Amino acid sequence: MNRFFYPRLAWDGLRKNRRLAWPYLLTCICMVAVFYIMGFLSSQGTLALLPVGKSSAAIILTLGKWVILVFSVIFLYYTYSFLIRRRAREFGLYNVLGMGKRNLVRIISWENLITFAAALAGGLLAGILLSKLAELGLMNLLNGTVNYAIRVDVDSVVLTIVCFAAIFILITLSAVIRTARASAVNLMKSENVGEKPPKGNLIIALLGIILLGVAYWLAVSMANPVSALQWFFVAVILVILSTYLLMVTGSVRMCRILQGNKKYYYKAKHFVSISSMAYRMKRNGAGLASICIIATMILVMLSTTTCMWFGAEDSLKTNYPREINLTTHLYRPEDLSDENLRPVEDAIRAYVEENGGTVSNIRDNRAAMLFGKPSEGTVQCDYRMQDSFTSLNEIIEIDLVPASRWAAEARSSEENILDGLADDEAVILTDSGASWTRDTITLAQGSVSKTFRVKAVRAAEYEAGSGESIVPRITMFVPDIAKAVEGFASELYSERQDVQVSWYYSFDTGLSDEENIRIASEVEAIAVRPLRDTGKTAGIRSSWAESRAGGSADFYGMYGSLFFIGILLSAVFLVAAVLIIYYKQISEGYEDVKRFDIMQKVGMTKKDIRSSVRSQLLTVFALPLVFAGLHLFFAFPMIRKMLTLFSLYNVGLFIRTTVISFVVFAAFYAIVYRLTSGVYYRIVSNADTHEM
Amino acid sequence: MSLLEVKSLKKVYKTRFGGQSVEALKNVTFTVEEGEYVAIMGESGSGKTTLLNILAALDKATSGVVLLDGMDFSKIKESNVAAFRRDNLGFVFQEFNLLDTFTLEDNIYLPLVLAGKDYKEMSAKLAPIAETLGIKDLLKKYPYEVSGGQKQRAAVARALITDPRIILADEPTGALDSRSTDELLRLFAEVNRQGQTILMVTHSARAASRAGRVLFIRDGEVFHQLYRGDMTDDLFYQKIADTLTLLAQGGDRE
Repeated sequence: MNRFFYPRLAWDGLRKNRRLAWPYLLTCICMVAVFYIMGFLSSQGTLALLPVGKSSAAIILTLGKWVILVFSVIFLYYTYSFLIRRRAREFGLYNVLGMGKRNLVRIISWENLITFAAALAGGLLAGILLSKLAELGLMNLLNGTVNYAIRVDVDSVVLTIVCFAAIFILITLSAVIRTARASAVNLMKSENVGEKPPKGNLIIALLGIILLGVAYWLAVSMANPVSALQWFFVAVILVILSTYLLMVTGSVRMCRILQGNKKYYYKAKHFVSISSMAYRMKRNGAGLASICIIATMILVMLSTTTCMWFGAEDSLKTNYPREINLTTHLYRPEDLSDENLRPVEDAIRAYVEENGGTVSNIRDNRAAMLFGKPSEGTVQCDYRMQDSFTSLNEIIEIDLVPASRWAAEARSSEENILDGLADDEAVILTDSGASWTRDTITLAQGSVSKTFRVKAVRAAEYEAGSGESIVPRITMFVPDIAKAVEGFASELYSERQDVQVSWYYSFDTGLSDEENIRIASEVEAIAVRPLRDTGKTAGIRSSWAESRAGGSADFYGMYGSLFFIGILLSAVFLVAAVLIIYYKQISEGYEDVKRFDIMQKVGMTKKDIRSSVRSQLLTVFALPLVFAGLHLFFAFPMIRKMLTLFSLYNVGLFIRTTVISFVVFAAFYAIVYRLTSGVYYRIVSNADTHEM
Repeated sequence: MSLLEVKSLKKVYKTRFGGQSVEALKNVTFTVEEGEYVAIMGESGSGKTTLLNILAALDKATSGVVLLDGMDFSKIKESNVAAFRRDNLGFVFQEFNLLDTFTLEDNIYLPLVLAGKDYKEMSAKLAPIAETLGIKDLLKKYPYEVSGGQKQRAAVARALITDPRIILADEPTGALDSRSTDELLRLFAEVNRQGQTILMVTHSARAASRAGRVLFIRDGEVFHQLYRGDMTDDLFYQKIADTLTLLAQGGDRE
């Protein structure tokens, strides 16, 4: 026998079934390309091109890569099982004509090998070209040096080959086993036999609901951004799992329940659509779930990255409240006095005026800052805690502020609250998720502890752009902060300080950006000078000044690259979603041709068919979108918390970008669905209804 | 008045390109009386499928008239055709044409559901029919779980449940083994005895021999017809077989 016999037979088989084989191959190519691009973008070589935000970009891209792989497995497996079922008749015929199972296995294997090779070649080629395009876009956005040499990430190529080889082996094996187990007659008939109606396992459906509930609960109950970040991935995995379980099993179960309601079920409107949905959900539920997950990912990425991009200005103002921002650390709490700091202010003003500017719009915050773990009304302070990532979940920030600065820092005219405030009394401001309900608050450090009677608790109201803290924050106004932490800073003169005494001094100059950048570097040095000679134990320990103009480049660079990645990934996922929808419509069309033919013969009018199809398509269309919206709704609080890590506190903006993203996506999705529904109608209406 | 009147029916198919036309039906005229059981026989290409498609209102005749209860098929509006079929005609197909997605019961209900009947009424109607056809215990099963004969009986139930004026059967025994064929033919005879009018297209002489009258079609015309009269099934079968031989030899009517 000619040694090309099997490859040629396999090639013929693919060619003759091109109406189905092409979209499948296209899907494979797309999956390979997307997987490679994700691998490429998350590789060290690409990340090195990013000026800032490398680690967060790496996390997002790597997660995206593995999610794509999971999709590829599930989606390719399901589409192929559909494909092979339609081929079964052909294989049965070969079998009847004297071809053994062994030969059939060879044909199937060759077909898959050809598909695999084509998918890999096409996918990698597309991936390499598109990844270059992506890189160019990124460089252009960041004003980096544009380089037109094609760069191939070998690791990603290898990983892509290995992963997809595994997927194709899995697919081939399942087809081989299916074919080997069936008899020739079964094969010939299998297309007509139809699959068993799925039962909709109650336990699995319940499991789906429980997992989804847990994921939503996690998302909603996160108290602070750090735990939100830690648990986000767990929630994502749970959501993906539960979406699949619910779409595949839960929806079947739902249809069965509806079928149980005879009054509802035996209505012309519901009868056909419910039963065929119950029937197809088992296979097509996976497609719907994939669309839903992709939609959710697109929505999350679009809403957050556009929020970052448009919130960059806000974020910039949070980090740089004024044109020039001076941050200083002082040695002792008592150094925060007006008499100490006035000479510094004077020196700065003199310098700014020398350069033709004026110091205005001053923002002057002073605090002795402690970090500690609260328990039973006692806050055990240890400054090192803020450096340890894991303890960020448990600690709070305590800012001690002289009562005399109440009006300036609390921005409250409620002055009488502080009347007669004793040394062991405090007025508390809470923000960033902090609360205090006890009558007393005890600050402890080692063996030393101080207890204060809480005279009043107020929620802090910050002006826009003033910013929240990553951890819950309690601001305590006490008459004398030096006394309040007496004995705390035991190693006052060493590098380690348990009390960090800070003075934040920000102001506008009215000068140009270039001037401001220059002045900032000078102000840093000037600030230290007036107190330097008063002795080692007084004055400013360290200082640095930044101009908003100087920070803006970095900010826009980072948010710009994240925005770009967000848009890029959204586009990539969108293409995947479009392919999945297209494939779904085609495969369902072929499935339904016969069904509609029969129904017309027993008296279903064209109008009945149209309305039945429409209601079914609408349900199937709406389901992923509704679920994606629901996922997004529950993810919102969690993502909002995580955005605070990027100094984005503008909830209004995030709500707007989320809603706009959803509307834009829904519109696009509707258009794609409409167009692909046309494909469906064309297939269904091609049925020759006149043949009896 | 006859239940079904077919007068000078003619059907010409045009090939898609060019003016070549094929005459599938030349001039077909016959009538079917209420309660009759008529078989139509003919070889492939004789035009019997075209005839049945026109009788089923699935296709329109080029000229001629079809009247059911005096109602002219050509006067039915396109939008009402499906409803007309549902209300007046019952179909039994060679390939059963049951929907995989429904249980046998739901398959049988399909036309009634489309007609907007409620569940109580449907299940009351199904009970005696299921009893007659011997599928009472199969109703909750899906088509893939039952045999060909059982599927065809469910299909007959689906045709009967609308109380159609006439049942049109297209090679109903074509996909059945001989035992199932006998069983189905027995049921047809039984249903006919209860008063149901049946028109069956077949090329099986055995199937036709159970009918009360057999029409032979050749080259788009009614070539001959045989009445059973008092003949036994076997004798009638013999008569039919003889006619078929004559037909095959291209002979003329005696």
